[in-house]
Amino acid sequence: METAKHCEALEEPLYVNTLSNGIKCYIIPRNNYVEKHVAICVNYGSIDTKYMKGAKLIETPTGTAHFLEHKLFEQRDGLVITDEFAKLGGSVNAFTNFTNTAYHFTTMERFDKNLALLLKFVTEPYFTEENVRKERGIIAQEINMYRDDPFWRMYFNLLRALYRTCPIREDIAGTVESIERITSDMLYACYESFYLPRNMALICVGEIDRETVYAAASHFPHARQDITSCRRPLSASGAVSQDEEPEGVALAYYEERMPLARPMFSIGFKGRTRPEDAADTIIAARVLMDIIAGESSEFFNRIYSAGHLDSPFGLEYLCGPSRENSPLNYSAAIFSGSAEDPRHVLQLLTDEVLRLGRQGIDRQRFEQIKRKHYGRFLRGFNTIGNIGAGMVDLFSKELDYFELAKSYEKLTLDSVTESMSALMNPLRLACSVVLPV
Amino acid sequence: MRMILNKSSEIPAPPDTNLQIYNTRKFKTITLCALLRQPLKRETATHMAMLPGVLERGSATYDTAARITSHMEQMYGGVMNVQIIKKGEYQLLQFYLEVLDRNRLFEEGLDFLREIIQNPLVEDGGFKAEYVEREKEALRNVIRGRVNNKAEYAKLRCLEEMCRNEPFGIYGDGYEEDLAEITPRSLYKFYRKIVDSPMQCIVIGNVSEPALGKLSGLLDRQGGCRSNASGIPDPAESVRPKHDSIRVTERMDTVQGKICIGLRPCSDVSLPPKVPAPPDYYKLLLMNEVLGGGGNSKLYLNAREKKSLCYYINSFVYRQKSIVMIQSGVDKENFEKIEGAVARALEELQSGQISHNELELAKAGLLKTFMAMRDYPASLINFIAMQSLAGSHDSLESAEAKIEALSARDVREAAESLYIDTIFILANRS
Repeated sequence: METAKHCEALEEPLYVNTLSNGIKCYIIPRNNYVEKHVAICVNYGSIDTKYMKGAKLIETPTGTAHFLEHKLFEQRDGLVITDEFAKLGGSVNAFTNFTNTAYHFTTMERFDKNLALLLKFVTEPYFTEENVRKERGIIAQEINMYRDDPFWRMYFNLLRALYRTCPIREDIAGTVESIERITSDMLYACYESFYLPRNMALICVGEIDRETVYAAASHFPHARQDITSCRRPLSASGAVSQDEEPEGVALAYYEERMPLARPMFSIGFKGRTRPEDAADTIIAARVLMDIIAGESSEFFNRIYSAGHLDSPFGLEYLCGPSRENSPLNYSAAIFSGSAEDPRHVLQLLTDEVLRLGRQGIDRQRFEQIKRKHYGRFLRGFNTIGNIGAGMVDLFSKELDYFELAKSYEKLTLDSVTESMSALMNPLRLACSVVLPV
Repeated sequence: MRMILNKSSEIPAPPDTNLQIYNTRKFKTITLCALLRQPLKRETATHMAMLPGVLERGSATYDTAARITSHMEQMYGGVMNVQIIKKGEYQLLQFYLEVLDRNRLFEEGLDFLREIIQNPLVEDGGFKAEYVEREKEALRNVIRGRVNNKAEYAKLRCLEEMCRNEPFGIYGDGYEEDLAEITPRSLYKFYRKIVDSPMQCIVIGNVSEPALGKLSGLLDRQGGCRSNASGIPDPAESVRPKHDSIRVTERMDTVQGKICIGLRPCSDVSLPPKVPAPPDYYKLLLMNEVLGGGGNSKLYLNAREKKSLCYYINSFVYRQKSIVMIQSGVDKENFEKIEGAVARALEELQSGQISHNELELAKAGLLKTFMAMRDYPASLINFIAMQSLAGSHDSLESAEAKIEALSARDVREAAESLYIDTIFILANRS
């Protein structure tokens, strides 16, 4: 049944409807927009390297979810999917991240036909040894492209330093070696285990007729009754065996050298997620990081003026999938930047966190940053593609925009202070540095 | 295939004033872009590039970056920044303002922007020395940091080699060796000259009467509302005598190599096939779309889908110079194969081998890009600013009509005017 969610901040409601086949539809109206954006999203990402099939534990090479995303574009009849969308005025693309795979299109015309095509190609896998072999070359080049990206390297080095067992430490696309082991049979098995309607969402943004969406999505095939395997339903009961991720970090400091101009660094504080209030946790952590080291902070301005830091910190609160008892849960507050001496910045940041812990957060500063984040949240609704991509991420956390809006409204200084003591522990900190060759 | 061309009549062509407003309630924010224009010159490029950093550090009233940022944060996280944008053979000093469309935030934002533009922090007849010194350091890092992004670096180097004796080959973010001579006074003197020149102002959003008054006030101070700065076409010279292709190879210790290939029109009409140069912009855009514009292009389908040579290969147009640039990331042993694929694709287009399907998909793709601009304030601003720079009076709607009318012959004609000017290779380690 369709429910409409409203909130004070946004004129537009959010419509949520779980259909009888299990697929969850989210519709976010943005009237007067010429584009319509649709994403079909699967709760299957790079962290899902192990799953249960019946009583059997299956392990797959890293990069399998991403490989599957590439290969789903392959059609039995040889049709080129991008061409087929283009003929209908649509443009299609896809991405895989830690927790999700999403296939999305934008169009200005023939919405129903584009939607039908999306649903068709996502439900009709066609993998052969031949087309899997051909894809390896393309994906190997994609992996190599990221291997030359200093930020990407630094980021994954940090995740490997922060996490000992959590598969978030593995590159999303895998490695040139791991993708060698991927076969078409393996892709079929993963497809059947994860691409289940109850594990998927259809997210539509723009001037959209909701009945058209529900009618199309209700044709989405029901899962075969004998298929029960999927990480999420089982992980709640603890049936999926994953190695326990320890509280501490795997490595406090890691550096490597690459051709680049200035040293770059990424400092991560390892946290945990509390699924019962995931939206509140996310908002509090983001506001906290900005209070500590954002562009208007005394701390950032002091160390920038003194020449210790090259430009404002990049701030990211990384978390997912935030399910109860999920061994895959992870969270981290990540501060990135470039500087002549990253170890010195690490020291300065640690000192600042300790100082703030002792002296507490200024109320006026809290109010200012809270207001900023709330305004930026609303600003995000200018771009329908962002709304769609944001919703994909929220779906994997079993959240939506309206819960975030509520969390903004009720955010207090106390919850930010609490976030600081829970998250910003210098004993659970890792630093990844990339130095010039 | 026809695209629907309605819903668009409200996007105006740039008129002969410095203020263009696209009034709409569609967006959550109101966005303003104020542009001061300066021809790209080697001797002033670094001065221009220094300005954003220094202006963002402090004004007379808000004398620290923390105060400036805090002010915008209190305005519900409004965005204000200053940037240098290289467009054609110009450097544009851009002041950007975006605030939520509520209460009187936009009016407040305009007051603030006026403060930043017209009331900078001045000490001893110059910008504050401490800020200038620190921002020199910051710019030095930006300039050195060009190598960090390998694809971007290859593109910049290709342009530098291709346009060695033209203003377009000058870096928009300046030169390290020029930093030493910049003083707080010389920079301030330079700014005074720029800031008194006519400013172009583009606004997207729900603009109220009082805000309109404030906007006019701002522009009156900036060389007036009526002057014709927006109508001066970019004098960029796009046609050069034909020469043998330039080939430059650099080595870097990377996993993947990069290749950039620059095409440009040839001026020598005595050579066959005698095509007028430079080609019409829309023809060139459509040609580019067929060549390497997207997932349906010749290059993508051949080099990636058919031969698995690369993950990305695409092409794009530098409008003012009629340059078409192709870029890809590949292994060292495949550079030649990419070069071959590009040469063959260009020859195909020049000999008119364009299928009905290719043409229709490219046209639809290009039209979609134009039509979608209506959903993005930044795209609308860019469109209006670029039309001004090119001296074009086409509205979005008339641009779309022109694209709609193009044929395979137009694509061929645009391709025939081009030749491979420069190949830049960033070779990876073996």
